[in-house]
Amino acid sequence: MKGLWQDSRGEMTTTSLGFALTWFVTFFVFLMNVQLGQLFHRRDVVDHAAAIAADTAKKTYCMKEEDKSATEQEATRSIRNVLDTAGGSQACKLSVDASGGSSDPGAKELKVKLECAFDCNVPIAAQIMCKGGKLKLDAKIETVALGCDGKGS
Amino acid sequence: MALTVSQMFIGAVSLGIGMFRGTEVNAAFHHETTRSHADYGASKLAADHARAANVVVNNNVTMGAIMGPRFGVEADNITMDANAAIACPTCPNSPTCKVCLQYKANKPRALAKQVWVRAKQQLLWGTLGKLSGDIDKLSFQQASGLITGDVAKADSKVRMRFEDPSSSGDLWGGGNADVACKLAMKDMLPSPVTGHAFPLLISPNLLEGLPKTLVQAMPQMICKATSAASGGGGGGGGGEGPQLPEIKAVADQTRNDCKALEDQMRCAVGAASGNGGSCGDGAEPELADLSEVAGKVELPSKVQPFVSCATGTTSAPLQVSGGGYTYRGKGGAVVSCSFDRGKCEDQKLTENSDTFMREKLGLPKVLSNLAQSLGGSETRKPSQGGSNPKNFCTCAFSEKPVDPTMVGISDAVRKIASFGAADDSEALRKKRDYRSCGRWYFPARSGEFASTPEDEQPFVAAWKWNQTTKCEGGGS
Repeated sequence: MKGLWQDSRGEMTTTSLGFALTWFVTFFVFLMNVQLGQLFHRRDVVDHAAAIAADTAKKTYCMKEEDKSATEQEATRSIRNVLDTAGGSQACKLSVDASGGSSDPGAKELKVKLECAFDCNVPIAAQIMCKGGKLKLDAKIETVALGCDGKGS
Repeated sequence: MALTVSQMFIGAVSLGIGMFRGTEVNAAFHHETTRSHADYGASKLAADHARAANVVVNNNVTMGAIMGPRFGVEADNITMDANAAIACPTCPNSPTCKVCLQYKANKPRALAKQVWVRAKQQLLWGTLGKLSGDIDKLSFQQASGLITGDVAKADSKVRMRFEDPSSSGDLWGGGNADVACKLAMKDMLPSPVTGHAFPLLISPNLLEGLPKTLVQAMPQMICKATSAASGGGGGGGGGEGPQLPEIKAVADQTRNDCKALEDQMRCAVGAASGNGGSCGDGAEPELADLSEVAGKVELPSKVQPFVSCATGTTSAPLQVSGGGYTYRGKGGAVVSCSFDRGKCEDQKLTENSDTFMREKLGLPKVLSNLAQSLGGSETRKPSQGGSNPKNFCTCAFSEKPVDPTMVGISDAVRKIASFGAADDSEALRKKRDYRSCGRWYFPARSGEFASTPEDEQPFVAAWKWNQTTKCEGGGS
């Protein structure tokens, strides 16, 4: 190592030049790996948050007198902590839409959709792996709320 | 060498990211499975409570179903007694006496039927009413045991607990015997049970129509129903109860009562006009002109309901039938006040008929303890009333610690990535209770049962359940 450091034969320079591309690729792979890990994590969080939101919507839609906005507020509140681990709930938009009833007069089918647009903030990798520096993820879940034929809460 | 080191570094980073992601996925999976145990618990509890609600409803219906025949038999017995009260004093010479003879021959049969139906009704009301009061507690005990066992089989590390309203009081503690009796009466009126004793046991019935009138009045007489609750019966005699003008004692009493009241009015008018004189001598009714008298007539409170006043005009002259007084009101119009004998006799006839039935024919006296008199218990409605009481809601909680290996991996990766700056994860170590609740209700807002009146909902087996995030007004 001492000989290499003294570089009496220009070995350090040639070796460095020879490995420059390799170093660059290695570093790039490292950054992409970090970005990929973040993307996977966000994908999991969005799926998980959508599942929680659907569960909450199912349990509150009828209790809130079929009020779409009140249901969305309640569901958004329930997923805030989860989304905070993946870039914040401000990056996401939740919608709960009723799509008609079914044979049971108290049942309402609900479509719960969570759309998120996270900033990718790992340098270099973000430009390659995220379109325009943004990662768009969405999750759609259908569920059925029961009890809409009872008087509100 | 450098390449190898750098590749190892990249490998380590990839491995770390993978492991960290694994812990996150595991935590999410842990969250959802643990919550699903709470969901299962709440669903089962609420479904069982809804089933218990429908059992209570069935009990109420059965209790009402036995009350109908009791009304019919009671009405027939009272009518037979009233027939005897009319016919027997005419014996032995009158042709009506045969009714009395029929009564003496057949009353034991009618009485035996009455004793049997009373015993059956009281037995049913006692046992079913008690079951209705206890069923939610029993239902919760059984459901909570099953849930705990099922979850333990799936995952022995999960701990379940419940907050159920049946442990803190009666859910179906309200009495609604008045509604049960009203429904029984509605069922019984068109049925052949009403008036079945005539002409089977007595012919002719000297009080035609009385059995039906009595059945209509039974909710008030036996179940202490309010007039508001028993509205809608339709038909039958006037006033708010049966009238027995055919019974001489009742008719005489009514006539005497009204005459006494009219005499009291005459005395009051006499006193006001300065002619105290003889006011209770049975004189013909007359109108006294009190226009010249400054003092007002002081009518006794018992008389006031039967005195009606009217102002005469040229287009609508006064038509006064009974005695009373006149005076000039504002603007000089003649005001006439008279005793309304028809109204008095209608009301007094009802009162005297009721007294006669209670004192002479053995109808129950005014009840001080309704449940006791009907068999020890009543039909039931929700203690808090309504179709969606706040305490008709139960919650299940599940708790399970995150796997310690996962917590360890997460901590290690976080520590390495932050070059030792990160603390141990509090989020993963935090003890979490996952809550899920279920409520049960009557579908009063839409569907085929939406038009069911609120007081009849405890008699319609349509109670349902659904899940909710929390219970309002209890159960956390």
